[in-house]
Amino acid sequence: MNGCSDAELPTRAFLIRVLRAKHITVVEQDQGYWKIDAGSGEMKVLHLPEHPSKTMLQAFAHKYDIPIDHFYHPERAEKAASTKSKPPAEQSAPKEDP
Amino acid sequence: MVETNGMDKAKPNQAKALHAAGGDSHTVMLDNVKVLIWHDGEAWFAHGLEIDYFAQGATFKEMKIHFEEGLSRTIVEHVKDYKTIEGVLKPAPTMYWDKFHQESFKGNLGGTLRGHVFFKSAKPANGTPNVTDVTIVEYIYPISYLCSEKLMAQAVDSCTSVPAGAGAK
Repeated sequence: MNGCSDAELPTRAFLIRVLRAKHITVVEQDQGYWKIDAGSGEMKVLHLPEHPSKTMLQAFAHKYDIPIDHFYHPERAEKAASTKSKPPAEQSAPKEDP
Repeated sequence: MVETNGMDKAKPNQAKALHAAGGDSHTVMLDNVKVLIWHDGEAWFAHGLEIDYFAQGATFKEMKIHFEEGLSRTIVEHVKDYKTIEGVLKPAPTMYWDKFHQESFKGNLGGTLRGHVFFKSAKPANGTPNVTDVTIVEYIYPISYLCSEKLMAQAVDSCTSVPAGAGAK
């Protein structure tokens, strides 16, 4: 998929980190089930294994519009998120309409 | 209250969803939801197409438990938070539908899901509703219907609850 070996597959903690960097709320329920709420009525309770398979990562990538390489390099996701969440004055992108 | 989300007019093979509520008791029924099931070399994976819900498991049985339990919890949370199951009914991306049709055509894994979830959502005067008595009545994967013999053999190896001869066509 991206040249990563199985040994480099991210853990559940990595996955959660990436989702949270996208401002998706991830809350643990119990027995390995996590409530994942992206807002606007889009919410799921999913079982997150300690080691999500590539297929599961791909499903998350499609579902939440996250580039797949962010799951292998969380710092990219965090960088993207921090750029987005900076006050408009600090961003080089044009200011959004109020 | 009965909520059918327009699926009450569905054709016989189309997915149907029903949410009935009386007092604190809720019944949610899903029928004919298409589920793409496959082994990706690492784990068993299921993706519900009309509901864009997915689950993984090291074995077929584990994947099935994660799918059923997680979907039931999702339904309960939607009723608790939004009072409706509308948010559950979001279709999966096109690539999964294409894969389902391709695999079905080749005779590989696929199936349909039929499930009922009964539960009570009692709302205390001071806040968040408590959900009690969640009961999954039945989930049925007619896995004998579309499975290839090879994949069925893998499923039988990893799932002791699959009835003998389920892979026969």
